[in-house]
Amino acid sequence: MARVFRTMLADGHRPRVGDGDDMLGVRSGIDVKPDKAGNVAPGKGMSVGRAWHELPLMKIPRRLEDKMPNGFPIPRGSNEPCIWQMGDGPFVDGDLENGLRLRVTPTKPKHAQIEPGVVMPLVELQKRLAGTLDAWRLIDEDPDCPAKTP
Amino acid sequence: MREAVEKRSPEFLVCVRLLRRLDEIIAEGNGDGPEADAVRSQMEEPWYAMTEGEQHLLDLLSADVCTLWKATPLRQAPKAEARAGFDAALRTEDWREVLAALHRAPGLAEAPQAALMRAQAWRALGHPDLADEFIALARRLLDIAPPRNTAVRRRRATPMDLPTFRSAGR
Repeated sequence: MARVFRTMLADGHRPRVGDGDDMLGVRSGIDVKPDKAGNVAPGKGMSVGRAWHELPLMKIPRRLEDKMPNGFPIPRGSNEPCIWQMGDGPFVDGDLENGLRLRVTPTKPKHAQIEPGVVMPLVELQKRLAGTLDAWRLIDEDPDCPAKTP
Repeated sequence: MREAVEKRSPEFLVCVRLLRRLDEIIAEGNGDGPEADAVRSQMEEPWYAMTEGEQHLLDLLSADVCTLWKATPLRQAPKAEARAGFDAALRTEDWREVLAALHRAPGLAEAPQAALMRAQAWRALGHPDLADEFIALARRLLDIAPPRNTAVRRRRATPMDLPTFRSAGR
């Protein structure tokens, strides 16, 4: 499975599941646009990045400023969430577990979405995304992440 | 590679405005508060609408504007390879690479000289307002620069003139 990175709040030592900002899940109307029947289709999903330091600068916690490998960008993210990673494979299109699919944005190779593999109800997509909970782990570069504190 | 002044997308300009606003909020000590989060949320849609080239430029800008109020990290002498690449970028007026190199290897230029280079780069990239901020920074730094910094101080003779850097070795 492709290695992907995402900024998410923590619940204990795991990402927070939900449909809000910085959670393991999608925001209806922003990340996905359900049809009248409440279904979502491949093409939109939960944003992930190719590398933690390539995430949007407002999604990288400010405490990681000194860890940026090139000296830029300077992060402007909240210090409340953490950066999590999942998988170890190359960052390319492909099927994930749970009937989900990774789709790299064609013109932006640093960005991808975890989207439904087929048309499914939004609640089903949320359930399948939540099903990846145990696959996420914290990046090593962030020892001060709130999820690492006892 | 001489870069023609590119027209920026509306999304880029929105992100710049929001970034500067976010910096104000962070400077007030509220970087983890609801107002900061609201600005970050507003940045998302324009961020993903920008091209990768514009995202990269905003990444550079995010680091450059920090030098306006904060001392740059400790300087180590740059490796010969970094120096050669930097000189080549200056020669060819590859301004994005000049900006990137100054962050990868801060020892490539002293602070006033770096500020002037950033001014020249951002002016060439079509952001004269930002360039003026770096000119002002250079002036402030030159006012406190030690006397040995003659190479940079000499350029102050006509303060409104923007020095043109062709080679960092000069």
